[in-house]
Amino acid sequence: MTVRTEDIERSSAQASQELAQFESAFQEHWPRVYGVLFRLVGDHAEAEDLALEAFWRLYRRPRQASDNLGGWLYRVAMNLGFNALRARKRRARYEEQAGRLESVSAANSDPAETTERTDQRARVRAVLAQMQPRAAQMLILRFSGFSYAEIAAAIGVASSSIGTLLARAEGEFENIYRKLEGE
Amino acid sequence: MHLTDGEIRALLDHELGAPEKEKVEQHLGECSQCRTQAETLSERASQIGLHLAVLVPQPGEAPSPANLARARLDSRVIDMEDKTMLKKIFARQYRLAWVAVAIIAILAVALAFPPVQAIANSFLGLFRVQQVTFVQVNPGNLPDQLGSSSQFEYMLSEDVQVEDLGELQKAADAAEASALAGISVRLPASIEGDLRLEIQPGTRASFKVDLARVRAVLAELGQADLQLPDEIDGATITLELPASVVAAYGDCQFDSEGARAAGSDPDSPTPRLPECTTLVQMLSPTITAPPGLDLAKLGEAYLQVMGMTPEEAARFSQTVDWTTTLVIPIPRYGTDYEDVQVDGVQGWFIQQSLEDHADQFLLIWIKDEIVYALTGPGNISTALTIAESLK
Repeated sequence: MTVRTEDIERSSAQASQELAQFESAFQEHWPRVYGVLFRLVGDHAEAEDLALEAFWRLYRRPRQASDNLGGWLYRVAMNLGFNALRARKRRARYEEQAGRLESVSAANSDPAETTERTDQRARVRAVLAQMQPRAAQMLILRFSGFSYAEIAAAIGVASSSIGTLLARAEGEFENIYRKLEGE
Repeated sequence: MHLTDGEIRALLDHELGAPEKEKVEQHLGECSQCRTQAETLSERASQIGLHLAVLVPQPGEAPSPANLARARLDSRVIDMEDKTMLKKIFARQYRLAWVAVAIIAILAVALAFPPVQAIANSFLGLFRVQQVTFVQVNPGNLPDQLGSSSQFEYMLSEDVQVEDLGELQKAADAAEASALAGISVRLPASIEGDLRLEIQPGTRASFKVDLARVRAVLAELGQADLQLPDEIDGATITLELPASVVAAYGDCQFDSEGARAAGSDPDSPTPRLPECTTLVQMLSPTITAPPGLDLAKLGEAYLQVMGMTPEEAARFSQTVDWTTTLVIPIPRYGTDYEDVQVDGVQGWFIQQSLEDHADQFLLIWIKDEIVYALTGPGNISTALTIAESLK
């Protein structure tokens, strides 16, 4: 294996075009990516962190011929969000096992949150956490104002299926919500 | 023939094309059952909308302005580069080649220039790696030159030649592997999965020293006052890593031949990790260092390059026997590590949480001059259980 200097320099025209595309994607999607992640994780700093991670991956992603940039970006963001939630649950479980029970909502010290809102949010997230991941994603995206076409691009299904999947997801949410409220 | 929930739902969201919309609305006008269902679905959607609305960011929870966020992304690029580097160390297919180059690179930096075989005779200071220790670095302090392996090699010279000293060989058991590799191979007794045992040939990396370039880079890294003897300019520098034995358990679809052929290019996309636990064992590398080199001073310079302040570097340097210890920098961002007792010696345990995959660990220790690296899915107790069952 031999490393030559040419390998290290990329064609500068190609590089600046890709950078321009990235910049415009960033400006366009930053608030919405944040919004989706905030709904998932509920913490401003964490949501921004994850959003930056999603954009960083976009930055690093090798260009493909048929680019579905928006869809890809939200798919990555949702995966990051759900993984963060799973990691949080795991951490909570370990701490529980170690006898150090730490309330997740107590750790969230955003001043904009009232106690009531904190409880409400915890309830809704508890329901989402128990749903099939794709169904939960569907609800988050729809109620963040995404069109069926945008949801289809992010989830990776045909847009003609969205109506059916959305109705099912809502059914699932309702069932789980009722069950949790009943406890 | 009634409407599906999907059709009704799409209508409620105004997501139906004109002809379909007309059809559905017409049916609703005629069918009370579907009208009732439409009301139900609409009610439910509103309810859930209200629930999800509590998740919406409030004024105090708004995102930073895009320009500010964009600037933060810039400063994180270097941080993220190192996360990628560490992730690539875990990527099954590229790990071995990458580890070989990483060791070469780290040793090169540790010594300011790699061991010289082709240069004259009066070389003393032969030492063999007996210990590994990790030091956390702040990736934000790392200069761009250290961001990727290819750039690092460029820093040293135009062309770095890496060659395999032999062929990849397979072995059926520990005895056969020992015979082929020339070390006493140990395998874990408590581990699941099919075993695949391979002997990776040793590696030789060589290049010609361009002293002006090395000095320029060191100056750029703030280490201009490091003394380097003139006679190494133009010399061919060679570092040899001994053969290593790789024992892979489980679903390990890695093509080690392909990986080595592809070279140590950690900038390739990371392939999906299989459920695979791997134990690598290798006679620890030997380094020949020219005399008159103040290794402690070099070590300090190395640590400063890695981002420590001069005071921190001086303090840490005192605690390390540079003639026997390999100091590996790991990024502070997102990595957990701790020192552990394993196999009767002190080793190091690193845990990496990766998206899409189970947590991966890396457990590394040196015993009786053999470097062991155990990696796979799981946590510290998984790792130690396997390590303690080595026979």
